[in-house]
Amino acid sequence: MRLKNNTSWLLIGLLLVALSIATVKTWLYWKNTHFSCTGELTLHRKDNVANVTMQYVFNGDTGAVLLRGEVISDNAPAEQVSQNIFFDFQRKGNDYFLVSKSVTDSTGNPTDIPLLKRTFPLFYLEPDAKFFLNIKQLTGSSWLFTTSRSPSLFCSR
Amino acid sequence: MGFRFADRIIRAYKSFNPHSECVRNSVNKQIILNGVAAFLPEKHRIIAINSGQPPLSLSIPASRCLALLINHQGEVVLREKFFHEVWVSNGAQVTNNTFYQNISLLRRAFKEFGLNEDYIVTVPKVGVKLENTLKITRSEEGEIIITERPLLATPVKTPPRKVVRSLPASLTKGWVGASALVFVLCLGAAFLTWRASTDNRFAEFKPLITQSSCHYFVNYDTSDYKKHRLFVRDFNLNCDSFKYVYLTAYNNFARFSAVACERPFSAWRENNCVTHYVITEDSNAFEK
Repeated sequence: MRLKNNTSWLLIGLLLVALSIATVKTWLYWKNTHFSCTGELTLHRKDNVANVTMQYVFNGDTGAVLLRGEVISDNAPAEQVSQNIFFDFQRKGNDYFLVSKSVTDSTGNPTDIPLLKRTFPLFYLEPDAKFFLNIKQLTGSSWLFTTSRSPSLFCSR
Repeated sequence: MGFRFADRIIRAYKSFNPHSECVRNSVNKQIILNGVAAFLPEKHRIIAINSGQPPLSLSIPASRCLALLINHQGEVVLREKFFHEVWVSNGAQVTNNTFYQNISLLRRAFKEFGLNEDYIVTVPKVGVKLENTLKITRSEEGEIIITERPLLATPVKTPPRKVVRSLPASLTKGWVGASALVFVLCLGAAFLTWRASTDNRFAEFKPLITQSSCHYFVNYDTSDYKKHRLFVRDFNLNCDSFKYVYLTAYNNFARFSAVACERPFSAWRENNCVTHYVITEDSNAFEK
C-alpha cells in the first residue's frame, strides 16, 4: 500500500515537472512570434554609413519595423531616415521569412531616395520585398538578429 | 413435604436453565480472591487489588468456568457439567481440548495475579476442582469492594494514542516536504527549459586583442582571423562607451559584424550593445 502511494506521488511529481516543461515550451513558442525590441545599428556599405535605430514588432504572423536615423555619404549630403515597414512573416524555428507589405516614410509617402537605396536592403524601401532573418534570444530581454551568418542587430526590450 | 416440593421446583428450574446458576450468583458481584484480586463475573474480568497490575479480560467461557468453580469450591466439578453449563446451554459444542485450554487460561490468570495456579486442580478424566485453601470473599448486592481502574489508563492502550497524535504531524511533514521538492523540481525544469532555448554565443568568443581601450573578441567557429584584424586596423571604433567588441566574420561571406557592448556580455544581466554591420561586394576581401 505504501509502495503504491509512493509510486502515485512519484508519478504526480513527474507529471507536474513534465507539465512545467510543456508550459514553458508553449510560452516560448508563443513568445517567439510576439515580442518587440529596439536596437542601434551602424550599417557600412561602400562609402555610405547609416546610423539608425530599428524598432521591431512581431505579432503573430504580421509585424512592423521602424527605422529612424540618418545616412552619411562621402559623395552626397546626409539623408534622414524615417521608414515604417509593415510586413508579414513566417517562422520556422529561429528562421524568419519576411515580406514587406507597406513601406512609407514619416510623411506617408513611398521612399524614393537614391542614397537610401544604395545603403539599405530593398525590404526596408519597397513593398513585396523578401527578407530573411535568423533570430535567437540571448537573454530574457535581448535578441540577436543574424543575416548571412553575421549578427546584424543586437535588439533589446 | 413442602420443602421437598420447593426443592424439586428449583432443581427443575435449574435443569431447564442451568446457565442461570453461574450468572445469577455472580451478577453485580465482585469476588475477592485471596485479597489480591477481584473477579468480576459479569464483566469477565479480573482486576488487581493494591497493585499496578493491569486488568485482565477473560474469554467468556473461561469466565463462566471460573464462576462455576467458585460456586462449587472444594468440589470436583464434572467435565460434563462444565460442557453443559458453559457451552451447551449457549448452543455450542466443544472438545475436551477446548475445555482444558480454558482451564489452562484460568491457571495462567491466577499466576499473573500472584495466586497459586495449583488452586485449580485437574482430576483426570473426571473434572476440575477449586481448592478450599483459596480464600474467597463475595461482596453483597450493590456493594462495591474495589473500583476498577479504567482500561484506557493501562500502558497497552497508550501507544495507539501516541500514534494518533503523531501520525498527522508526520504526514503533514511528508506532504510539505514532497510538495516543496516537486515545486523546486518544476522550477528547475522550467528554468533549464528556458535556458536551453537561449543563445549563449558571446560567452564562447575568444579574445583577439586589446587596442585603444577596446577589447576585441572573435567568433569561436572560425580559425582565420584576417578579416577581424583588418577591421580592428581600419575601423577606429570609439570605445569610450562600448569597450567590449565581439567580431564575427567568415570566409566566403561578404558580411562582417561587430557587436560592441558596455560591459562583457552576460546572460545574467542587462546588456547595452550597439551593432556595426559591414556589407562588402567581394566576399573574400575586406574593405572599408
